[in-house]
Amino acid sequence: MATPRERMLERIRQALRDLPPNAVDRPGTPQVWPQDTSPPEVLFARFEQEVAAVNGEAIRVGSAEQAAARLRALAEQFSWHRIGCRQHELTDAILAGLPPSQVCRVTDSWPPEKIAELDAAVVVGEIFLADTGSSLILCHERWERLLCYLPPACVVLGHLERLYCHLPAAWPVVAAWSQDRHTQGEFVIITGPSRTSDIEKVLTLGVHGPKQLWIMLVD
Amino acid sequence: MKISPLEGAAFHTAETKWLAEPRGPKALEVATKRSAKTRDEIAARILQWESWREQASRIKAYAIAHLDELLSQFEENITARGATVLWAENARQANEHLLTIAKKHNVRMVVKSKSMVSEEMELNHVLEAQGIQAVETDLGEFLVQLAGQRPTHIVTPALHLSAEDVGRLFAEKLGEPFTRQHEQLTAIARRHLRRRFLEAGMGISGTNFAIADVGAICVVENEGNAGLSMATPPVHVALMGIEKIIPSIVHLPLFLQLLGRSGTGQKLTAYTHLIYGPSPGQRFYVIIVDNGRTRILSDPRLRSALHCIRCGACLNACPVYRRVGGWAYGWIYPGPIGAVITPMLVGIDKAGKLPFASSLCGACYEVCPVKIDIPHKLVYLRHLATTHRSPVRSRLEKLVWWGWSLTMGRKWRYVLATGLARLGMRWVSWSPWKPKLLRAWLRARDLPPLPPQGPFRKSWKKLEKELQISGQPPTAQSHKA
Repeated sequence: MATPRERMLERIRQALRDLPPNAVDRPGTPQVWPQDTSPPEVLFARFEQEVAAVNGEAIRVGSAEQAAARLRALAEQFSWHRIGCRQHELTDAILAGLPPSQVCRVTDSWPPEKIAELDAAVVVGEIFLADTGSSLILCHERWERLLCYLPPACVVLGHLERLYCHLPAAWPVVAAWSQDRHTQGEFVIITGPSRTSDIEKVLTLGVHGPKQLWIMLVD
Repeated sequence: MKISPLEGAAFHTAETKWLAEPRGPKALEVATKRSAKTRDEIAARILQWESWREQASRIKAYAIAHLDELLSQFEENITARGATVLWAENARQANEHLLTIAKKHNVRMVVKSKSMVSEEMELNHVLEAQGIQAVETDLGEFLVQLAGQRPTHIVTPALHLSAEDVGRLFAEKLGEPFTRQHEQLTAIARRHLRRRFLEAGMGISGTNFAIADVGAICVVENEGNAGLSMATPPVHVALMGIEKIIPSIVHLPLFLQLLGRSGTGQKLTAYTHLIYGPSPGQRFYVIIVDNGRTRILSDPRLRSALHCIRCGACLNACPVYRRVGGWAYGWIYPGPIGAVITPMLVGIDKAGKLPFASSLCGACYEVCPVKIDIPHKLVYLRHLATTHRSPVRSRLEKLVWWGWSLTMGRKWRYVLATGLARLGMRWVSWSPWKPKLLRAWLRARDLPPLPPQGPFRKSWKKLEKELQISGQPPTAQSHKA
């Protein structure tokens, strides 16, 4: 007896029987935006503007020490007592400047309830997009994903050299990662803090995810 | 409120009564006009916009023409990443799959992010009948669920509720102190729903795109509720219609550029999730749903309706939708695209009136990011509705057209009918009693005044006589003068 899968596929084939086999050519990579070879200064200026437009803040720092100082200032300003992060060379270098009692190394033993109690999360972005003010974060583990959504504030750290002009320019890198059969979990592109306009089309931030977002790029 | 496809999208129902009220359609009209204006401005600033639409249309045409191959490829690739793929020919099978999964993982509560397929399945009712609590987590969907209503728009479901309505709703249903402050209302929803995310045993999401060559799904959103629904519970189920497939990961950026800009006027939505199978310790299921889509696929004149990426731009651009809102369409897909796909999904015999809910102005086609020729599809569906069993082929309708044809067949009958119509109009403006249908129509409108000079043919005759005397041929301009 045929399974629902077989019946559905057969129904699709029957529905398409009027089409000759090569009726539609396979489209190649779409032409979205022209190539942009702007220097990093120009790209960062655009990035900063776009991040601000989506209610976040982009910060450029010359070194890990400067980044640590900015993070300390943010923690003081917003009274963050518990900052969650994952083990990564960038977070290790930058969070070393904070009192150890403030830094929580999240691991797979952390339940979602505990991650939700953090004051802020520090995550690492792999790709940044100047024309939309976006950060792409790779989250293999469930707790890495939750770190992006549960705490009320989020700081994305990254390297300036990973700043691309737009999504199509960065996409060959994402496509290559995607082809790897061992990739599991989630890639998330974050463009501003959590938002809604569901009540009277009035923009309100932090409906479910972080209300505040900083993106700190290290030269 | 139980939503049943058997209600059959009558278009004009008791639920549209509020539209005649002075405040009724105003909020909807203002909001949709603002969204349409933002989209138009964005599209006008991008030189490549038309090229993007053309390319997106071609990619979707390829995907639909190779649907069987691409769905199989997607299944193979996402299964290799640890997902379980299930196939459902109809809503009943999809619900059975979900209940089996819920039972297997001992799920008592489900958190849901926006999914139109789940609305087709009436999933919330099915789950609740089995004692499983289903919580909508998109703010707009949460509001309409609390209010026991239906979404009025596919992107902004609670467009019809004011902040005051929401404040009252939260006071009544959640026991919160009344407020009409947007920040506070959002904070209340966050607090209540956060608890649900942490307690739920299963998260259900929709799928914006299913990428065949890598085996991944893409979900876009702004609130973060989809991210939380997919990652917080130990089980994630993604529902997808068969038409969500795109051939390759290289095609995705184009659709992301078009979707945000067309739907909400954003360059990219706040969150774009690419899910490559389950995270360690999690279970991930994908349910591929047909539920009538192969009926659309089998008709070459309607097939491209399956290109739709559910951005809602055609709703915002439609002058009919702006006035009547989403409920008037009677089922879950409102607006011009709803008027095309609903008759095919629930049957032309039930929703045959919907293709007539259009002025055929073409605005929906002009804004569609994947160039679906909605107006021609509506005309074709009107033809089907008049040649097959459908609500427009009622006895009354037949009688009206028979009368029309009889009247127009002879000049004297036409003259008699227009004379009677003039009498009728005079009587209606004078009489305090009016027939029921006319009463509803007159609630928000006045009858046009009768021309003081009598019917056009009378003044034309008079004019002809005058011009024959002066030796000039009559024209439309001379008549106006």
